[in-house]
Amino acid sequence: MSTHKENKTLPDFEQLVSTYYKPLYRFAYSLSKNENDACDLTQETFLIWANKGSSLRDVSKVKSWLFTTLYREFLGNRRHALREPPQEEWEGIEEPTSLSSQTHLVNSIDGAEAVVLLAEIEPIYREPLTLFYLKQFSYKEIAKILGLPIGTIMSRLSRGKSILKKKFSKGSPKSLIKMDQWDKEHPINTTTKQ
Amino acid sequence: MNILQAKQILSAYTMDKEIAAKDPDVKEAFEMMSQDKELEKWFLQEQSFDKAFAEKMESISPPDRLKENILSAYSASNKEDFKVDNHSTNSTSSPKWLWPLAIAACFVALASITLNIIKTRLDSSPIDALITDIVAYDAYGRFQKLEPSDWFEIEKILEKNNAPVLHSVPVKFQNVDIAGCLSFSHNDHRVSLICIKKDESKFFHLYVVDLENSNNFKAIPQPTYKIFNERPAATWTDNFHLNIMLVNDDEKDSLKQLL
Repeated sequence: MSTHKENKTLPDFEQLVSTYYKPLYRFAYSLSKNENDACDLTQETFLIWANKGSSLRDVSKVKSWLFTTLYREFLGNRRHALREPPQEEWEGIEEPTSLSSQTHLVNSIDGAEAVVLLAEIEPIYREPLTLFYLKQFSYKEIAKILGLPIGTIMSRLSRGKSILKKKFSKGSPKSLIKMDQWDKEHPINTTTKQ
Repeated sequence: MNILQAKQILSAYTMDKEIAAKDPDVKEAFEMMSQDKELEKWFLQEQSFDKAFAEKMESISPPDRLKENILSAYSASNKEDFKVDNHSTNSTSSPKWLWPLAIAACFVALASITLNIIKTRLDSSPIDALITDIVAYDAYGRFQKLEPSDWFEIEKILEKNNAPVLHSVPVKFQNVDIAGCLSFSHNDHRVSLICIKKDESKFFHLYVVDLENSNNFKAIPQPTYKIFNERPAATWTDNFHLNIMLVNDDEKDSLKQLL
């Protein structure tokens, strides 16, 4: 069947899908916490691109455009759902009990469990955190995608990471072993740089 | 900048050296870190945690068929939905006196299209009208819910959904890949759509319509080829099922070869 009209500056549709469908799916999966919804969101994003993407003149903005569109679609889809009231109580960055052992714990889980952990965090922190861990964007780009001021993104990233580390400390999700148990089995050499 | 602010900035740092060079806040936080061993240690541990967690995120894989489904949906919708308006940028700069003329021309064109559709439907047989409806569905369908399957699984999935299946699969169909299938109802008829993959980006759409309870059933033992709303279609019946294979205009020859 016919292909998308060739544009000298923009990648063709198949190339675009090949490049971005995985990170977009990961973002969608983290937002929706559901494989089917994540697939739908990803697919819908590319179809919107097929309709409107040709109006984008700056090829460097393709990635941001796709992620922003996916996020807006997600927000549109959940418009009728009850929104969780934002609870942004800044408590400062809490010093973790042991960051290096948390890193070991991260290594002991798989991707799905990482998403389970992220899913336990409030959306206002989860959304920037997911974009941050996808390693696709700077915090300034994350601010643009989520439509928030840079300062808000920075504080939410900090707070979100702090909450995430707390989750590790509590040993969730279920498959994670308790931090205390890990520390006993794996004494930390704090002088070692990683 | 105090230590808390520095940690907040460093916490949002995404290992992009360019950002560090351009952003004065990041630069300042890094300078502060170079003079504060505790802060440096904290940052290294933070980076280690971030790296480990990012790797976990990267290990999340989408379902195998997602890419194919996206391309399939794009291909299916592409004909009507994704036409690029070459004149869109010029239209905004058109002189204002042209607008009334343009609007009038649109009305004339719309009226002409509407009359043509009405005339086509009045002139056509019930089966042709049904095929025209399917062609219209195909042009606007988004097909997001394609269930991945192969020929062996397809029958089970469609039967489970109380949707019609091909009674006899054409010989050449045995060698083609299936991108997925879905089912829906149209005018009390159960309809199955089987998306056949021609190559990496091109798909044929085979619709199977259950006409068992229809008064309008007319047997078409051999595939017949006809254009419906500019879409080449092959239609044939198989017991009380009407099969409609749709392709795009440039795929007419492939359609005949396949059947």
